[in-house]
Amino acid sequence: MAKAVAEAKKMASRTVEMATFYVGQALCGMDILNVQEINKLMDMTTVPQAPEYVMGILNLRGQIVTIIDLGKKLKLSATELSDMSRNIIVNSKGEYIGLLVTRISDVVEADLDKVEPPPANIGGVQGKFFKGVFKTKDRLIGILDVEKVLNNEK
Amino acid sequence: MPIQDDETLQMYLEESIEHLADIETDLLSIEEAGADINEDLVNKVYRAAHSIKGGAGFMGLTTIKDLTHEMENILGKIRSREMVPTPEIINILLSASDTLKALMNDVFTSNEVDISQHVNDLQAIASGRALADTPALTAAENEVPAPEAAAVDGTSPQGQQVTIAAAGDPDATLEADEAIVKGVMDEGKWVYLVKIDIAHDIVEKGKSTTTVIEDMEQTGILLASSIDIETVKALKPEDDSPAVPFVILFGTILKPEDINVLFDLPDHQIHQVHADLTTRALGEVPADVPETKPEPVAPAPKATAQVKTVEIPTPSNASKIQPKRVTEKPEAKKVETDTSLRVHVSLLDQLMTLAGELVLSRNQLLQSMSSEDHRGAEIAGQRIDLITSELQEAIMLTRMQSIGNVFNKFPRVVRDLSQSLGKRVDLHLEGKDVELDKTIIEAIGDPLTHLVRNAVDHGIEPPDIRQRSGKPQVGKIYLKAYHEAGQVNIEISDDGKGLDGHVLTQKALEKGLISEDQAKVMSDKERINLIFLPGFSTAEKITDVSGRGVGMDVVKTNLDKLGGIIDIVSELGKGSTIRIKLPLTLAIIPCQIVMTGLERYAIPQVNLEELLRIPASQAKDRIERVGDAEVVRLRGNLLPLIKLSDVIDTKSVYIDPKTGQKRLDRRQALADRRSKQSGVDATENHDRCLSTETAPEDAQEMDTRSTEDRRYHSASALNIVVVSTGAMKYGLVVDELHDSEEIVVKPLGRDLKKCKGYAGATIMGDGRVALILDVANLAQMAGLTSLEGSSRAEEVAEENLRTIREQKDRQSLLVFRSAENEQFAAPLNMVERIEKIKSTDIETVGGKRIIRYRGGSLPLFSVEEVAMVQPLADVDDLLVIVFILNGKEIGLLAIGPVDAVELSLDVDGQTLKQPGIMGSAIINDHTTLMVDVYEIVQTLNPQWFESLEKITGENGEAAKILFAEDSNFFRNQVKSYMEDEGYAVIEAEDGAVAWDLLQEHADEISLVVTDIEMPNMNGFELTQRIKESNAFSHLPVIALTTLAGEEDIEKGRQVGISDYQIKLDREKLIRSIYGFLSNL
Repeated sequence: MAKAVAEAKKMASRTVEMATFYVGQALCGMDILNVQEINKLMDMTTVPQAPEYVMGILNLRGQIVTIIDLGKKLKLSATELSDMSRNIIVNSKGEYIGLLVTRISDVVEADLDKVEPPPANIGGVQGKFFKGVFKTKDRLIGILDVEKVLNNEK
Repeated sequence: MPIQDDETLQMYLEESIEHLADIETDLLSIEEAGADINEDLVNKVYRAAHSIKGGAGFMGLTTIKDLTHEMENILGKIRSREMVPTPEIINILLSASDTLKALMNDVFTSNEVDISQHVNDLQAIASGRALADTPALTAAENEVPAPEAAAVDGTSPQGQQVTIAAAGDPDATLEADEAIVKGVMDEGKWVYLVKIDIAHDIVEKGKSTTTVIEDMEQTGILLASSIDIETVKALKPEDDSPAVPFVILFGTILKPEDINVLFDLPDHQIHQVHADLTTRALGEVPADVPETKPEPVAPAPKATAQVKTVEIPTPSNASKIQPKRVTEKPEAKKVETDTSLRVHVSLLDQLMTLAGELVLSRNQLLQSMSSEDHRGAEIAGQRIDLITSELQEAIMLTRMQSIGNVFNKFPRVVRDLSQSLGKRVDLHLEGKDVELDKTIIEAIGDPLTHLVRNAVDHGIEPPDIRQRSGKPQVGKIYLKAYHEAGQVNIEISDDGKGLDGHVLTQKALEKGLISEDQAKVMSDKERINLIFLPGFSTAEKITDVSGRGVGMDVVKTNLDKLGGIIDIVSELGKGSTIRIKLPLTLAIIPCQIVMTGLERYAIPQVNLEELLRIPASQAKDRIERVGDAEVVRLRGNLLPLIKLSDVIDTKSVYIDPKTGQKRLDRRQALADRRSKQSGVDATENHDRCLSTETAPEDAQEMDTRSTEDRRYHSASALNIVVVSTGAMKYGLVVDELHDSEEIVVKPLGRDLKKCKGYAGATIMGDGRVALILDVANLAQMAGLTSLEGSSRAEEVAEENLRTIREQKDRQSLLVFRSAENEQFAAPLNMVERIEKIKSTDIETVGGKRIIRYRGGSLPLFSVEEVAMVQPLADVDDLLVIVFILNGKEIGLLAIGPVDAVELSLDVDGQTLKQPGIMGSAIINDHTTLMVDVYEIVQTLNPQWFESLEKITGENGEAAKILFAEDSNFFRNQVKSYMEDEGYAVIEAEDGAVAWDLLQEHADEISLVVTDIEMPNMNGFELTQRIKESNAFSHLPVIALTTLAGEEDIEKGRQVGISDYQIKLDREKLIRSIYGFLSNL
């Protein structure tokens, strides 16, 4: 944890643009540079016997993308599919992975100086998945640590 | 490391490895030619060695350079015919080239690898004829135990070791190779003799020895080094007094003024070495120092010996600095695959052209789309289609490599192996040009090597044995590759001893891989295929060739992974042929698309055997349960079934025939009906309990459906994909079968790696993703693994038993009807022919029905005239089944449908027996009455049958016949035939009982009638016994059979069966009996 904060502090000299989105009720964000694209392709192929959090697989211009229900992955309730739900495609360790989120919110410019270490729990999500918390005027954004979220080892 | 330019190095390596590959084959050819030296070939090898050496010198790869130099020397001598290339010489050259290859593969540490053994050997050959050197050398070798890894012990062609000593410092002496030192100087470098005190100069300054050495390696070449091990051992942390001298001979481009930037040492510890090998401390005035001072490095125990024989390269103490690194490195990095590939420029040009065309077509497409020009878009689409296929082909071509890459290493393998085994083997290669995908080429190397080694080790016999069995001493192994039907076939055949199926079976039995019962019923091919069972190795003793833990099962598994098929044909004493079929490429594979649970899945065509659709009406008959598993009967074989939706735990879906909607399938077993009926019979209750969640509309339909058995609806047919993987074959039950398509394999993400049932994913034409099934893993998941190999044999055993059981009572019958709903059957072999007649053509004359036929009249009868059955149906079109009895034709009136069936019958000879009916059996779900034609006709026309003269025994009693038959029905039936004729019959249930009875009634019996297929003792065995015994050999034996195949008849004749008769052909049997008895 302390390391994450230190890391955050290190980058503090500049601001970072963050893509924010809702996972259930929780507002989360991630560095926009992590985001490959955001789409609303929901015509997935289900994969029987896949881990529970895997929604299915998708063809993204010739690449097979595994779509992960971010809600389930963060141990929240399953993400409900609606007109608002989107896949955030991220590149993790050379592989494209789609994160299914409830809806997309704004792009927020975050001053890393103001990022605080995450509490043990943000909106029901374990603190370990976050790099930190950023407060805007009226909202609290949990900054997701994408690699940690996608890491399957316990 | 002096190598700076990575690209140049890479090019050098690629080129050198190519050279080396050629060197190997060429050396083998040179060996073959022997004294008859092919100069061109030797020149070629010489040039290859030379260019490797040249490059190595340029790159600073001293070890490689030295080794090739030695090789070059010898090749030079061969070229100038100073030397004859004997197998020993070639051996040494080959092993040197192997080492070279290893050095190339790990070029960055190559300079630290010990090559002294090779250099010794090579020099021994080179100078070998100069006898003077040899004794000294061997003596030295005896004294100095095989040199251990000596790191920087580069040895010059001259092998001149010199000792370089620092002026005024007795500790700072080092032995080095004069030529190398000179060579480095010639390159314009400075050479320094540096004495570093590890304690003071390294440890105290907070450095470590490794960093120092690494630093040095970046700026120059470590020519030689030595460390006083004893001092290091004595070194205690708190003890700072003794200096631990680490002496280095270092070649670098750093000038004397700059050298201390690297070392940061007092000047007196760094000595510059001059061309005449004298040294001078930095900043000192040149002073004369004895050129060589044969002072050994103090504590080295071997040193004395070394100094005496200066010419031998000696392990320097430096080896002890990193002994582990040196010995381990070459082993560790074996499994590397090529990362770059040579592609012909013309192919690249072609790709470029295609890419250009693709861009043009795209532009065209975009244009027509924006202008909504449908025609244009269509044309562009077609062009893109064409270009894509061409592009795909061209790109595949870039990946294609000739199989020669793999084949070329086999001459060497075969040569080395046959030499070490004392065998003589010729290897013939064919089809080196056949091209395969790079990944396949890389992957088949090991399996093929194993197979070739096997052929040499186990296949080809030693020369003396070969000679004894009349074969040429030199064994032959053919390695052949060729294209066939879009696949590549590779054949490895030898003319060795072949595989002995019985030995293999015995082995498998001993190892408990199969059971005795299985072993008994295996076919030869199955026996031979036993070697693919895991844990099977046929080597009588473990040689260094076999017994390395890689069995044929591994070969098979590896090939399975590639989608290959392996097959063995072997003839004992003549040799074996192993045939491998491989796909050309793995990236694009043809697949069968199936659907289950609304998702599509792809099954690779290589795993596909056939598609099977079982109509719902047959599902219940053809699908059986064996224990927990469901099996389907396919052409006499039992095929285990796996339901895809069960294995991968998804929902099966079927199309409701009424509504056309897709609905969930809730069947418990495949043979169950799809939906529940509202019937009240008890068997349905179980189903109904399970259907509590039945949808409302289901409930509504219940009534309408109750009258009709849903199983008969075509929509409920079972779709089965018969797949095979290795020895296993099973049926995968899916919801729907779609087309076969060529698909591109894409890997699955890491979150799905744990799903073993999928081999990957692919993108379908509509853009959706479909999963590719891994049929081997699916079987495993379904618990079918035990089926592999051994249980296949079990299955065969079971199958054979069943056919034996069935054959014995198998009977060909003609099924017909007389009234609409009463089915009859008569033995087909009694039927002469069947005619169609009109009922109006029947005439009644003299109380008998006849029909005019071929100028005569054919008497007619119907079953009900004798038997109490329903009267003949009153229809216009009738059938007449014509029998011949006692030489007279007689027609049985019947109606259709007629059918000929061959069935194993369980004939009930009691329940429905009545005059004219022998009994009943179930045929095609109908109780069928077996018509006794003979009895009917005899009842109707007793005058037709003149009684044969009664044959009596010696004492006036009726002749006694021993009759052996295991089926009650046939026994009673045939017995009554014989008794009707006035014979006395003694019955026996099988051959063994018959034999006992024969002993008991030895004198009374005058004829034996026996069935063939019987338990305990069959008819053949019984006959054999009778014919072999003195007391009974005179007895005629009539065999009764339902099947009288040529083979059986022949077999019967051999054991002494006097005549064959068909069961239920009363007349012929009686005549035959009469014939034999009247002749007595």
